[in-house]
Amino acid sequence: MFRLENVTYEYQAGVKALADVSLHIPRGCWAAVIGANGSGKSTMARHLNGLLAATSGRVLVDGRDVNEYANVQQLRRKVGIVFQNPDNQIVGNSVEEDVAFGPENLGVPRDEMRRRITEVLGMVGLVGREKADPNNLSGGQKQRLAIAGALAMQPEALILDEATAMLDPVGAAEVLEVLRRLHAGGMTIVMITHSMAEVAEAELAVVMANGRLQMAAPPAEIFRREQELRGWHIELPPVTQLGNMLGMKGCLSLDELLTRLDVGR
Amino acid sequence: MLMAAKKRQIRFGAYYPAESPVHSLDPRAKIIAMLLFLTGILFVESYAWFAAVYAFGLLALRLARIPAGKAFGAVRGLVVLLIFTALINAFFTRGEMVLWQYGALTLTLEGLHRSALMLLRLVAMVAFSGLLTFTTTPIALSDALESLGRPLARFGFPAHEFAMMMTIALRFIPVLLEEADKIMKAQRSRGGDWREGSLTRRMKGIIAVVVPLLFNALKRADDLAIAMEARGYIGGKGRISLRELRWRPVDTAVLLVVLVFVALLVASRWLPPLW
Repeated sequence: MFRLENVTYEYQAGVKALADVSLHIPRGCWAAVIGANGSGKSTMARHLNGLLAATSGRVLVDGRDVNEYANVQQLRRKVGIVFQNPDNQIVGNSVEEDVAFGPENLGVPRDEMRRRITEVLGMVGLVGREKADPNNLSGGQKQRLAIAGALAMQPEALILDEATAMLDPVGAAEVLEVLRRLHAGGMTIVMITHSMAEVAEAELAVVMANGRLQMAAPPAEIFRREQELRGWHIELPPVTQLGNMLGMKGCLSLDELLTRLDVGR
Repeated sequence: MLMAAKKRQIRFGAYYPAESPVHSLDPRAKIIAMLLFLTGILFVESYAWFAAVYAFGLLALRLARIPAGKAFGAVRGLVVLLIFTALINAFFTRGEMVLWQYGALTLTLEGLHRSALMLLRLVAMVAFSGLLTFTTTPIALSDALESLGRPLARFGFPAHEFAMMMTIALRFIPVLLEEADKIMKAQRSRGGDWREGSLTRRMKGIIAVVVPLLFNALKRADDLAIAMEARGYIGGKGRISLRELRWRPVDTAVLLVVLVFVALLVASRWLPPLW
């Protein structure tokens, strides 16, 4: 789905936010991007739907160079993005109007818009709230609305730029549940996160530091390399740390740790 | 939580929710009708015709299921202006019939007459403009203005941009109010309170609230712009709005009725005075 080839991005001459990043995220994959603040995670994500253009190198989406897309809307339609602060990305004055914002921009006919609103609100569990004022929704609901807004454009991939960072644990869990369902339906997901528990959900973990790609491998494999991660200011989830101490390296969940302990006994 | 309770009470614009034939009219018809009606009122110069204006307006209010008290309540905010205007008209109109004189102040019958007409005119304009603002949501108003302004887009009039700005402003007013509340609480918890102390102290307190509020608003604007771009926003071109304005025969009918009435009001200037 996404292929980055030696992508470098300088936000001013000589200052590299991304340096020579090469990465492949296959279609249908759930990738988690981790790294300390300023490591280049968000910058990389914004290259994936053309919000930022690489200073050098190539970004391929669905096999095509992002510069080859006839218009930027085609690319935006293919790759949806959800940002950190739900309040700053909701445009509509009601839930349905906000979901419609993307399709409105694409000039989708009204009947189709209505159909999509019903469909995506079902996907994120907000059916019945069509007329609600977004200001009266909880954090988790707002972020699910933002996801619905992206889904209404019928994207093939969804990027989440720290989309759970401002949510309480309940809200974050709601969002994750939606992502699991979307992933099961074949959606490519790129999730930028600080939460190691969320990384454990992914199939591919991408570690960024100082604008460079440091590692890209399944989370279990990455979680074995505790020392290196520490060097990049990344803390493992407690259960993985405990497992590593006990010699059960790269455990992703409590269940996994317990099973492996049982087997080890 | 106090803020959450307060937030629900805040209503933007003057929209008065009700099910009525006036509420369901096309907002464009209402805007045009209101402009015509207000123009008509400017032409009225006699008490009899003002009686007609008030009868027409009150009938429309009844149809719109808006309590007359609510419509005329809007006049309260203008009481000072009204009294001032009335006094000026009463005392500075020259005339034959001097009722009372004190130095340079002269109260004439003509002055009283003019002052009364002026009051009737202003009160009618303020009260009956509620027929538009009470029955139309701010969003519908902005849609209508966009639609009416579209022919002007050719000459560079940013009709769509204005409507989008209005939509976003409506969406963010509660967000910013909540934020202002949060900042004020934060300042107060550190001993800053703009409601107490000398004028300079209060000014400083207000600055301490306004600056972070403005700063955050700019950050939000930046975020929102990126989010809108990410959702394919490229301006009004090729855009289809989910909300659809529908012009029905009843809209044409209403407009015709208003047009006839306004024509009468305009003509009344040249008709022999009834009273």
